[in-house]
Amino acid sequence: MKKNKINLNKRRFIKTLGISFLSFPFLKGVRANYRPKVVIIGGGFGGGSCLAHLQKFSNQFDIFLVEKNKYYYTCPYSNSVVGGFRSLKDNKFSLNNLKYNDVKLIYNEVKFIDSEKKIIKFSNNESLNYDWLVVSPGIDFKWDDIEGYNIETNKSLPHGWNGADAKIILDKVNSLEDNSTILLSAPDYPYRCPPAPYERASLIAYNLKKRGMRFKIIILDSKDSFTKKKLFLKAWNELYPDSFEWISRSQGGKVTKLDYKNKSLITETGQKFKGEFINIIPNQKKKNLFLNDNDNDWLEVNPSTFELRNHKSVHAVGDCINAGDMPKSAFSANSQAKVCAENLKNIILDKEILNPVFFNTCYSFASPNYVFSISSWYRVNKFDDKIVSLGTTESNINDNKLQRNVEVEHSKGWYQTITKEVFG
Amino acid sequence: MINLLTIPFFLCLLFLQKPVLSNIKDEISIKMIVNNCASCHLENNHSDLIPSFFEIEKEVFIKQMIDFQTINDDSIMHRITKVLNLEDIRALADYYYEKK
Ligand SMILES: Cc1cc2nc3c(=O)[nH]c(=O)nc-3n(C[C@H](O)[C@H](O)[C@H](O)COP(=O)(O)OP(=O)(O)OC[C@H]3O[C@@H](n4cnc5c(N)ncnc54)[C@H](O)[C@@H]3O)c2cc1C
Repeated sequence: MKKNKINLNKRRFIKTLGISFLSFPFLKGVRANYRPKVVIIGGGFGGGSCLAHLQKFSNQFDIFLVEKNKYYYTCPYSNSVVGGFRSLKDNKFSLNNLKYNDVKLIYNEVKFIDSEKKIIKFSNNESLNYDWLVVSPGIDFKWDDIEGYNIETNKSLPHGWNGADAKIILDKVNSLEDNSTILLSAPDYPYRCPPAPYERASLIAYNLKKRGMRFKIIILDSKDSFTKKKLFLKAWNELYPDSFEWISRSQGGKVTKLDYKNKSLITETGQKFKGEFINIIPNQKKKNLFLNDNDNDWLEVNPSTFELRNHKSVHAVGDCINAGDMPKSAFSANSQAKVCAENLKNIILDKEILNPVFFNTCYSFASPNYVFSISSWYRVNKFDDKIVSLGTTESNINDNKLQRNVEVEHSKGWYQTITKEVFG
Repeated sequence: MINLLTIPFFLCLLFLQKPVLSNIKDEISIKMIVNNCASCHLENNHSDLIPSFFEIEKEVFIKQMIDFQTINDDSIMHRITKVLNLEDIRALADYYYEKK
């Protein structure tokens, strides 16, 4: 017999069969000729990866992808734009390049989802019904957490926590004069891409150093530690000595107020910091698309199927969910989307739900030739209610220049692969 | 909420000489592991910066994987393969090369 299962366990096998049987009366005779309609909302890393896997079954399901924007600018590699060594257009993708037959692409903005009636309402009042729905709309921001900072002030002081605004941040960095102070406010967990605020700080430093500027970067943190901290601190020391100051939450780093007129940030302990350039990365929460939903910051899912706990036949992946130990990253969204697609297909076709395994790697640039990474495998815990890490590992702190450069190639290779998979 | 029962379980795993991905809990489909490899190693259109293992022989693949696992250099491939055991590696090889 061909071995494609490892260590089959009877208890779980019976249990998963039970789940799929109960959850799916659909193909059991009555509507055997019916083609189930699967709609995916969000053509970013989560939704796009899910589509890439589900479209293999487009001969059995009707598949729709709903996306509000014609172009997608990736957040991965947006800090390289800020660093001044990559063009924004290299991060620009269009779903129009996808060559899938039988997948219907709808450019429209979802206003809300009524999961009881299984209907999606669009901003232009059109609507679309579904049998199964996958959502991956990404994140929203908590605009009330910092006094004086809101959607309005963000227009002139953008967070740039999307791919598209990287060029605006670059222009601001390019306009800085010698001896400038840059203030970067880092958010509290959980947020999109945990190492990215520190990567951004590194690449602002790279940009300024390359242009022969002296500068000070002060990171005001809402946390007491951060991912890959030792690796970042070492890189800053080696590449940009005496230019960085990191102030943890317990040292008074949590920003509570923006004094826009005086270009200052005030922290929890009342300390005031003045800077020529301020980059606030706000606290985050799910982008809510549901008509009736609770106030939780993140969507709660069954980690094997990604079905939402409080919306039947709706599945969610990517940054909008509570993914347990998994960080919010494009790599994670891609890994979750494959599991979601596989098991959604199994639910629809009344097959066994597979026991998932996930993987994530986050690469960070400290300069164009200096990259390090953190990675982990993940499984579902034995109570089937949480994704847990099997232990994170990082690049060696003592890696030499060559090894840091090898990780540059790995990072670029990963980006080429994932963007090819998602955007064609 | 952290489940206290899972803590000793995962601590044990961390200190095992050779943690084995497939032994951690119940059965796991090889397809699920392969899906994660495909984040970097796509069958078609693979990146020119990441080697494709679809072009090498099955035995070379197995040897490479064992080398990654045994040479403790903290490289990304060492960190990825150290949770696999020989059985997993052979299952991966069977999946890729019997599919061909
Ligand atoms: C500076 C920065 C650097 C990063 N670097 C990395 C990295 O190196 N590696 C990594 O793995 N991750 C990185 N990330 C994280 C990564 O970008 C996100 O984790 C990833 O984009 C999450 O995918 P998603 O599908 O959940 O959301 P998104 O990719 O944001 O996709 C959501 C999609 O939904 C669409 N949408 C939203 N609302 C609606 C609506 N109402 N109607 C229709 N469509 C809608 C949006 O237009 C968008 O296309 C980085 C993030 C940042 C900010």
